[in-house]
This record gives sequence, structure tokens and C-alpha cells, in this order.
Amino acid sequence: MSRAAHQPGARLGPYEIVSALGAGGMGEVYRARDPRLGRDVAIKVLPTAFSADAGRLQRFEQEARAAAALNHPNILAVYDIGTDAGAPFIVSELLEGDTLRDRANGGPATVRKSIEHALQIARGLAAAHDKGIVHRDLKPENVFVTRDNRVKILDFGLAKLAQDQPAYSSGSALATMPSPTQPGVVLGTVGYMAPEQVRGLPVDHRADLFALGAILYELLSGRRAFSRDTAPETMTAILNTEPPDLGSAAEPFPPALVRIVNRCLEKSPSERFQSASDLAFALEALSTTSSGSTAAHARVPPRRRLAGWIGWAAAALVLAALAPLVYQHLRERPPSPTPMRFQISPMVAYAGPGNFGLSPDGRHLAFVGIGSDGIVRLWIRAMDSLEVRPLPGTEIVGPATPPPFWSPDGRFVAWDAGGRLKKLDVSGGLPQTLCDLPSGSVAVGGSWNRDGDIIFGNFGGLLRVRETGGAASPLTTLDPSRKEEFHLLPTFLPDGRHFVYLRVSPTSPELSGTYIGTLDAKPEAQSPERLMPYAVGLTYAAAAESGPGRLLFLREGTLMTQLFDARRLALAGEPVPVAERVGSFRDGGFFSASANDVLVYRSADTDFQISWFDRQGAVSSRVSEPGGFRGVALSPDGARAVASRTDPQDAAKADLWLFDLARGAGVSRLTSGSSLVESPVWSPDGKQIAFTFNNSQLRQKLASPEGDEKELLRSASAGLVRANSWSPDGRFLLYEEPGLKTGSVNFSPRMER
Amino acid sequence: MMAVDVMAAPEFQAGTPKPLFQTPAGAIVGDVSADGKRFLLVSPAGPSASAPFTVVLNWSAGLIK
Repeated sequence: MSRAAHQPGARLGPYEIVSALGAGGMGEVYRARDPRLGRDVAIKVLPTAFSADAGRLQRFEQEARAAAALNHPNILAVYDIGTDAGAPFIVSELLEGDTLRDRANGGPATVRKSIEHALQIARGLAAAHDKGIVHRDLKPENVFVTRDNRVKILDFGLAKLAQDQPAYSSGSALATMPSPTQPGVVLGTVGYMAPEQVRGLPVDHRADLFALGAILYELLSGRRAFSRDTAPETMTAILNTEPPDLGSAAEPFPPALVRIVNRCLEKSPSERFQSASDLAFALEALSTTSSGSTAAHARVPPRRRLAGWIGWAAAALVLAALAPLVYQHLRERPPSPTPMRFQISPMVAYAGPGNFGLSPDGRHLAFVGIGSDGIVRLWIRAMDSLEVRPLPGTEIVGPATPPPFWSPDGRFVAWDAGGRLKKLDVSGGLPQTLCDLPSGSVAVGGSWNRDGDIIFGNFGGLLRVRETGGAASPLTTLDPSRKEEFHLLPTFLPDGRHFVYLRVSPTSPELSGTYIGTLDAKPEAQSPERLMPYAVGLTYAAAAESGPGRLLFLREGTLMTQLFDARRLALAGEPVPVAERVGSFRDGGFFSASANDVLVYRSADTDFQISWFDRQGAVSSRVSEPGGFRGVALSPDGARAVASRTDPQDAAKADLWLFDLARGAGVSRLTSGSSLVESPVWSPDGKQIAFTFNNSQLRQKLASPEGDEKELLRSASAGLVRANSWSPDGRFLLYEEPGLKTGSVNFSPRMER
Repeated sequence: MMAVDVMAAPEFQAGTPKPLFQTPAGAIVGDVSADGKRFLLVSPAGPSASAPFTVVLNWSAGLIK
């Protein structure tokens, strides 16, 4: 290596080296600590030669961009990239386990295990191939098996990088060989190279399938498919000979499995499986039928190297995202933190698209999800592993639960448990009630300071409660003179006394917006001075180090941020965009940020569909195309349906759309304008529709694009009002409104016939 | 989706609720046909119910100054 090794305690960007894990042709690998997230990571430092040629870095960048988008359980996850003294480095998850090489050296695996490993490799390859990324150097050394038997493919893109760097071929662990037919190098490791690689011809994803075939052959038989005394002889064997037939082994393997291996090892790419997905499908079919056939091959388990943390594991890193950032780093020394964007799966279905909250240390995400049992509850997703777990006792009725929020020490989550605000120790225990919520209201956004004060929004003014529980008391009050209807989404500022929050005056938008409040003012004496015009969603993210923090909010689907000096309680600079097409629901945005510069967001949902289901739960016909539908009502004669659909350009708005079911696809828009229209109800004669307008009004109009809207009712409690049903004689509309003493139902008003 | 027999007269009475079918995760119940045989639901059209979160580390470092 051209560089001196990093010593324990040395820093590499923000990372602190813990120990060296190994070195190879593609760089040195370290175990390191990320002090910001408090987690251990693996760092691979690539040779400086890799960054010397701008053209090569550019090609690398293209590959890296695509690889960064890979988010698959069978591909090593990359967290970060950077440069150190001109040498690019890649930060990835730290794995525990051993490589497939270690396992293969222990002897043949069982049929079941072999299929299982091959299947996971095929799935990882399928995800990469879908993005146009070919590994080119798949081999047992590049496949890691974690202690819970999850397979991770390592080193995507590195082979291509090395291919672009002939000068580096000497000393490479890749065992690159001179091409027999053209100048340069042949990439791939002898023994797993496809014939076209041996010939130095262009390769595609099918070369990876050949390599997987060679790996599977070796796992089953305990010997390499192509192995000779010298590399040239091995390459000749790959081109001209077949490996010993698995089908003729003393204890024959399942014929279907032998056929799969042989098909992978076809000399001509066109005769192999044409996609990793096809291969995965074939293996999957086999895995479900082979469990009973493993007895004949229940050989002595391979010797396992119980090496504990074999950290070099993570070593080989997906070259995700060396990207433009590399250039930036080459220009900037010392390197500053680099943004790293990646995606993680929630692992279970969301119950609502935006109901999530990031822990203060950025390490966990709490969200509302639906498990395989169909029950809606809170889940915790670890950001640095595949761990996702339900929180017992957090079962939730209805999907409209607002996002949960965290205690400042990250020990507790608090959430609206349906009429009550509750908290739960995420490490275990039973939920505890903090307070009752006002009748019919929900806790829209909450914040928890270090002094044990919890504040939250609802259909009214903000409320506060102690973390030990008790009755909630008013923190702010609605100002009737300003026609305020909601105070929402409070976030404490660093002093734990002041907070930012949204005031919403639906009919006076010039008054709606972000305001600053304090625990030290009486509810009616909070500052009436608007800090910022209305925007959907609001949170304050403290700076990772000293300096001003930032407000985050949505403007027409774009996540924006602006510096905010929490000491002076003043904005600074101009708003700048962070991400586009971020989702929202009502006044809340689908984003959450921690104080250590971690941001999580989710795109807008526009993909709901209206369908007919039969009594067995099967879809009998589709009524609509996919779109942002949020509710549908059938006309009394069953010939039409009216649905509320979110505006694709602005998720805070929605209109009513009419579907002609009798005639098929006829669709027309009933309302149009900059408002939120939802919860439609038909009149019994099918001529009128009543609906909720901007949360707090009931309106009616003709069930056709013609005619004006007419206000029926304005909520007395400033809460969300919703019509339920129109009486058969047409005289009454049943509606619900929070805060009514007799419950949530009232008969009113008298309708004109 | 659950169903329950009800009797409106002489006084309102409800029977025992019984399950009809499992609705898709994230579905919103819309309406039921007059004969009670068909149900109009709003349900996720694709795999978005498990669509990923986007995570940005050091997000403020990447802003346009």
C-alpha cells in the first residue's frame, strides 16, 4: 500500500479509528466509531491512485450513484463516503460473521444451506442488475454470511473501478490477469470468471450468474468448479471443459438443482438464465421442495470459524456514492461532513404514510405500521441495521394517528393512543397514560424538553403536561379575532422554554404561519407576531455543533429549510430547498430530523385506487386509476361514486371527483380551488353532496360540476367536522364534531329540500 | 371487514359481528352496494405501503449556500 496505516484513535473525517481489520488489494479496512450516531462502522480506505484520474472517477461516480440507490438486505449497506489525504474511503455497516470462502473451506454445505445462500445472492444480484449494476467479481470471498445467516454481497463496483485502473493491477487481490486477446486487464477472479470475461470481451449481468453457478457448485461439492495448477490452465478449463458432473456424485443431488447449476455454467451467456430474478425463482421453487431431500446430503457441518467480530467483513464495500462528493472533498481540505443519502425499508407496511418520528440521536425511527397480524401499532426501525420491532401495547385504532415523538434522552416514545396521550419505554415495559385528550381531538405534533415538559398540538390551542402525567393544561389559546382554528406541531427550542409552532387561520391565510411561544407566558399572552408565513409541516432541528439551527417546512411539496437563531429567536438567510416531492397530510409533512444532522423523509403518496371488492375480499373490478384518493361514497342508486382526491401538486389540498359507475370511466371534478375538500356524503335523492371544507366547515353543492358551494355549518369548536349521513327524508344531516358534551354526534342543521 | 345483523324496529337491536374478509393493509372503507354483496374500498395501488424512507446524514452540509 502506498499509504501508512491509520492507528487506533486516529480520525478519518468524523470517524475515529478503533482497529485495523485487514488489508487487501482494494484497500485497508478499519473498524471505526461514528461519534455522531454512536455506532461502530467499517471503513475501507481505497488507494490514492483511484482518485488520481478524473475520468475514472467520473465513471466510478456513475456506478456509485446507481449503487447508492441499492437498498437491499442482501447487499452491504453503505453509510457514507469521503476522502482522506486524497484517498477515497467508504463507510459501511459492520458485519458479524464470516465469508462464504471461510465456510466453503470447511467443506461442503448441506443442500438446503447451499440453496439458501445461492437464493439470497441471486436476490441481491437481481436488485443490482435492475439498476444496471454488474458485480463482475462475484466469488466466495465477496459474499458474507452474518451470524443470523443473512447473505450480504460485498464490493459492488470495485471490479469496474479496478478495470479502469490498469496500473493498479499489480498486487491486487483480485488476481487480475492479462487478457489473452487485448491489452489491459481481465477482471474477475480466476475460477469464477465467465468465459466471456476470460476472453476479455464485454460482459453483462449474465457473467454474475456464471460466477454464482461456480459458487453454488463449490458449496455443494466442496470443490471448485474450475481449478487447475496454474491460472492460465484454469482459464482454459473455463473456456473448454465442463466441471465434474454433480449428478454422478455418490449421493446424487436433486436433478433440478443440478440442472440449475449447469445452466448457470453454460459457456454461452445466451444459454444461461437470462436474469438473476429467473434464477432466484428457480432456486426458490427448489427450496420449498428440497427441505425433505436434505437427508442424503446432511453432511458434517462445515467447520465454522468462530471468530466473533470478523470485522473485515464489511470491508469490501459497495462503492455507492463516491459521487460528486469526492470532487468536492478533493477541493476542500480538511474535509467537512458530507451529506449521504440512502433509503431504508420500513420492513412492514405503513398504517399511514407520514406517521414517523426520528429519535433525538438519529438512530431509531418510530412509525405506525401494520404487522402480518393486520394490527396497527407502533414499530421501531433501527437506522443502522435491519432490526425492526413492534412495541407491545401500542395497538392503535384507525390509521389517522399523528406521528409519535421522543423523549430527549431517546428512552420513551409518546403517541396519541386514541383519546389519550401515552408514553412507553422503548426498551420494554407497559405504556403509561400521560393525559386525556380533549374529546374528539388528536395530538398533532408533540415535543418533550429536558425539564420533563411535554407540549402538543390538537384541535384547539397547544396543551402541556408533565412527563410524569396529569391533567393537560392550556399553553396557548386560539384567538377568535384572528379566526384561528388550530395550533399545531410545536417543537422546543434548545433552551427548553421557547418553542415554534403553527397557527392556522383557514379563512385568513395572511395570519396563518409559524409563531414563537414560551412556557413562561400565559396562554392568552403568547406572542402574536408571525415569524414566517404558513407552510405545511414544521420542525426545528438544532445544529449538530455550535451555531444556529434550522427550521424545516414544506412549500408545495418541496422540503425547505431556513437558518433560525434560537438565541435571538430570529430567522437568518433565505429558505433553501432540501428535497422535492416530500409528502404531507393535512398540516403535517412527512419528515423528521434529529439534532445531529440526520433527516428522514418520505415521498408523497399518490397511489391509492378505488376498487370493488366481493364478499370474499377479492377485487372484482377497478373503478379508478391510481391516485391520491382518501375516501369514497356511493350514490344512493349505486350508479355513481364521489371521491376525495389529493392534489398531485399540493398534498395539502384535495378536491371531489365524480365517477360514473354505470357508464364506466366517466370522471368529472366537482370542486376546484385551493382548499381541502373531503368526507363527501350523498343526499338521498342523489342530487346534492355535503362535504368537509378546510377541516372546519360543512358545505353542500350539486352533484355535478355546475352550481356554487353553500356553507351549511362552521364548527363551533374549531375542530374537524365531518358529515356522516343524510336522513332518508332529506331533512337532517348527521355530523360529528369534537368537543360536544353529548359525545360526537349531533343532529343539525335543518336542510332545505 | 365485519358485518353485523341489525333490526331497526320495534327497537334497534344488533346481532353478533362476524368477519367477512381481510381488507388490504392501509385500505379505507368507502361504501357497500345496496345488495350487500360488493364493497367500494380505497386501497394502496402498489407496493407503496412499504416504500422506503429516505435518510440523509449530514443533510445540512449539502445545502446550496
